[in-house]
Amino acid sequence: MWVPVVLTLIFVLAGLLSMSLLAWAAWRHRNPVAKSEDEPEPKRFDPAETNRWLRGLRVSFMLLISAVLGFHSYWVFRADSTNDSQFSKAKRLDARYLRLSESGLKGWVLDRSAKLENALIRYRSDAGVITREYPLGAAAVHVTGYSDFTFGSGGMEAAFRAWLTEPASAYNQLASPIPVGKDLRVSIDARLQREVFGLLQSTGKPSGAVLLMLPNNEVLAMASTPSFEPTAINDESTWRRLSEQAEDFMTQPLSPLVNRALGTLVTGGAAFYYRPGSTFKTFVAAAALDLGITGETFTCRGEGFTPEGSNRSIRDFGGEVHGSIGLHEAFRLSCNQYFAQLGLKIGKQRLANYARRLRFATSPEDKIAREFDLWNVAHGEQDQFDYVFASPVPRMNLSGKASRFDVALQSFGQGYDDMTVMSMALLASAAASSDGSFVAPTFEVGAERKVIGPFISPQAAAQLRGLMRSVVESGTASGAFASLAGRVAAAGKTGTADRDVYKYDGKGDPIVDYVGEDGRKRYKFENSTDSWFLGFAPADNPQIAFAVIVENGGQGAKAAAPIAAKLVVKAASLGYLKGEGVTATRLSERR
Amino acid sequence: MERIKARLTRTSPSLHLLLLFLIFGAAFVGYVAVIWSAELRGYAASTMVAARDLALVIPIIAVFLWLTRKQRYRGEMMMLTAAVFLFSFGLVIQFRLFSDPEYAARGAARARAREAKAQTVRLLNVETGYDDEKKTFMFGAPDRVPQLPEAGQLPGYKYSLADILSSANTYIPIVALLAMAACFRLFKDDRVLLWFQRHAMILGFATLVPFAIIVLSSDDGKFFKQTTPWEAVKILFLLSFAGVLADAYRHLRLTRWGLPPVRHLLPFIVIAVMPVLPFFALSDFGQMLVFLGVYVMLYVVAVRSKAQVAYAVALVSVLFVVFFGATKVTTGFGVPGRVYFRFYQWAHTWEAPPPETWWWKRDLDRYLQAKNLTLDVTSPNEIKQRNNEAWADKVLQQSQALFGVDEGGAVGEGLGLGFPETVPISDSDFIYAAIAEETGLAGGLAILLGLSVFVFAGTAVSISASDMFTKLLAAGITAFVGFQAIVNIGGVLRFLPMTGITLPFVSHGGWSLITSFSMLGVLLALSHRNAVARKALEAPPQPAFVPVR
Repeated sequence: MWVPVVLTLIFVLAGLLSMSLLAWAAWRHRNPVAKSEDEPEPKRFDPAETNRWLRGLRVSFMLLISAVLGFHSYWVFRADSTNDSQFSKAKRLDARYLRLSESGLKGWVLDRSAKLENALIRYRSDAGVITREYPLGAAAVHVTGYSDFTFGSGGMEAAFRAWLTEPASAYNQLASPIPVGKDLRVSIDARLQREVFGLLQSTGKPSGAVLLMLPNNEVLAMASTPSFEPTAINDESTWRRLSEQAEDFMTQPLSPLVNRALGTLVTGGAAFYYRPGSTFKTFVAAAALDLGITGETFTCRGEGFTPEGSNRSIRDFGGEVHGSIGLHEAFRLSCNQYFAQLGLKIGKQRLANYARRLRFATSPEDKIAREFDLWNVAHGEQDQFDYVFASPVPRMNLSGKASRFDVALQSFGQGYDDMTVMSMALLASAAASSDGSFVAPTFEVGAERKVIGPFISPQAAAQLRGLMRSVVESGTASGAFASLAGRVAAAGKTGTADRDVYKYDGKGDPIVDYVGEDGRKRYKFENSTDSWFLGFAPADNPQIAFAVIVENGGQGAKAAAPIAAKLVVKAASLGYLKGEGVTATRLSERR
Repeated sequence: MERIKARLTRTSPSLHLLLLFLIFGAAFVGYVAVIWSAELRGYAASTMVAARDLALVIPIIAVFLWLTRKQRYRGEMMMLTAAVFLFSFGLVIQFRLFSDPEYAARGAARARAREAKAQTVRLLNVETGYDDEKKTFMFGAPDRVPQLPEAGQLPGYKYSLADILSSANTYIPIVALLAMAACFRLFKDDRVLLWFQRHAMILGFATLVPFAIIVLSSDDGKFFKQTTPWEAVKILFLLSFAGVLADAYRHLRLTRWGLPPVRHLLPFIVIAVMPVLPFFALSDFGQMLVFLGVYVMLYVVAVRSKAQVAYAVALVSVLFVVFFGATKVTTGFGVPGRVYFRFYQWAHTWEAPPPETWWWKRDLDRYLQAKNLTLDVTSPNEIKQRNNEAWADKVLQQSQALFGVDEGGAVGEGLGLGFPETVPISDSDFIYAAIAEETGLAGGLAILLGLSVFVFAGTAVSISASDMFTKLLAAGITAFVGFQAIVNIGGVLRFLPMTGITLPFVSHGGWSLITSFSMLGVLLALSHRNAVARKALEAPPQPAFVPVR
């Protein structure tokens, strides 16, 4: 490759040399007629009178050519110098990127074992024809992504593009016009990823799960169903159908391109939320424990709890009545009325403080769409990464406009609470971490721990772990985790969330209710009861934290908790629960 | 005679002969670079074509010798050398583009050609970049990696000698050189020049009629096998304009309140508008722009009335304001939508116009139809997205060209190592983008230097001419080439709106190349005439009788 480069340099320099020589000669002869001293002044209408104007013409041409040269220099040196210029943004659509990444050999993406046979993305050879392969297929497509000459790339292929196309070897770089890219080892465990995906798929419902390894919050597995094969992109009509569904995915959340674990599209962009349901009580309990509000008892009545200034009452699931109870019992039994009252007791301001510690938006006026700069990225470029993997910012409404009823609803995960599976897994991880801090998630293996900030005190975190442990041992999730008794002690919180979703016809299109006066379509809705579970394991020395959702799966204990239990068993069999404890790792504060 | 001591200086022809060899020596290195990198990128560039291109040095040197020896050329050679440099540089870039199987292919064939290139690069990478562990994993054993294909087995265009000899790319440059020689022979003759000046007005009309017929019977601006034979007409129009102006300029200079007398202005306006009409019918706004620019320039130089320049500037400004005012009006006063598109693209390359814009709506519909997409009018998001997509598709050529210029940097990616194939049709209008990408700012500077020399030497011919007609003709030809180059390069670099005209001498083209070289021939003839006239003035009086010893 260096040979033609050097030859080109010679070619250009020889051309420049010859033209400079000629330009020099032209300059020497700029006045073709040497004027003699006794030459008379030109007469009126003598053609020679125009010569001054012709020289002016010559000068203006030279100015124009310099301007053109100036424009050329601008595009070369200035246009792309800032990241947010219009040119730099447009340049992301440059077809050359695809040539560079798809024509050569990009880096392989290896799982945390770093073994070639466990690779997430690699090349294979069929009788000498080399193609990029995704061995996990649909099981990991929301993580690995896809890549194609025409449609570009998604997932890690897009997020780590800068790294995967960075030349790996100097010799190869000299030999090849499109050098081999650098390999990347990510924190995903291929075996665990397959297992998680299999468990989600077995529910037959749209679902998502995230599994984090403490203390650095390395993502061990992240799966979402329904899924698709990365090879789907090779067929243009299939891909068009998929992306058309995804384009309108607020009304078409059936699209397999939605990464339910993050609330993003595998192609990058867009926002998709879930109601967290009772799992959100973990957040309110954490706030209460940190503030020392542990001794309160509230009454759970049959007629429900009606906040001041409201005429609607809050009841429990199935009309259950728990009577007068304390925090521990209320958390174990997941009492809505208790947490509604606890949330009001804590108050809007203080709840908002804790929400901001987890980087939630606390008011509709907070217009940040996505959690940029949250992920801990050491390889490649953060903005490329965030374009694909930054989830939508979790939202609450604790502004001045929110009524007491709204706050009460949000205290047990209904109303204005908008969360993602990842944000709930991070909440579980904050509870499970010994120092109670909020740590950024990452795909990097062995990267420095990126602490975003403290969430609750270590003592409060320890107390919260106790509450969550009781849920699994004798609370709402005890049935699902019964089989683990004696082997692994896990901890967690179930959740059941009501959500209005679009109603679909047989073809998967939303059913139109009526067309409004403004010409927009109004769709029919139905209720979906999402099943949630978040937690960590082992309970006394947490090594992994996780969150699972099964859309319309019913109660948390019925669909999500059993999946979480199986997931813990698999993680244990792979040896992920035998850590030395969270405090053993060197903690470093960033930011 | 004694008191005129003026002397005409010129550069030595041997310097130019040396430079011609240097230029072709550099071109040889360029062809080697293209062939070498073609092999690395996975296709075979034809050495036969390279040899043919390099062999064009023979007719060029032949013309050079014919000029200096047979015709006893006394004028300046700089225009010729600069033009040959531009031409040879363009040939190298065209060779690079047309050797790439992907460049000329369309549709599925294009994807296949691209994939074939990629496979070679991948094999090369496995061989030079993968360790034994990966080789074993992929192929079973490190020594079972498939061999790289031999240069002869790489995909590429194969030509026989007959193909090469009968190719248009062989005979068009030769025809262009012959046309140049013919023009030189013709225009160095005083009688011919006098005839043209006398019959300027008739010549204009005589050119217009067949031209108009061809234009009206043409299909979308192309005629008989995608050629544009009216390119050559440009010289005739220029001749007639220069002739009329050389006659009229004295009268036009006599002004009342700074305005020329109508009696003399009217025929002049007729001759000025003549070439504009057919190009308007062809919607060839680039040529229109260049013609108008050259005509205005010649008028200013000949009449040199500052008041009239002020009037002209005022008139142009008013027209411009009206034009921009008309963008607000849906009808556009009959100005074609394409002009609006070009201006809009120039001002906001990466911002789509609103979908209901009158000049854009039809293109948007056409795009949706071609992609077989339906637009849900009730969803503003979808409309916006489709609109952006369609716009990105529409400005693909311009934006890809600019990305290429940026990628090229100061010294370029190297010949054959960039991706100019991502710019559609980058051999003609957008050849400067390919030059900038593969040879960088340095290559662009070389091209601009060549053009500067051409303009510099061309104006020198005009300055040293003694009569108004040849003065204007030389200035007109120089300005024509210069304007055309600036409008073309400026269009690529977003200095001016893109107009779709070729870069003289550099772009791939039949009639445009022939026309450019013919203009060069006229310029050489005028330069020669000046020198001969000066020499006659300078020469000491010959004795009437030389006695034989």
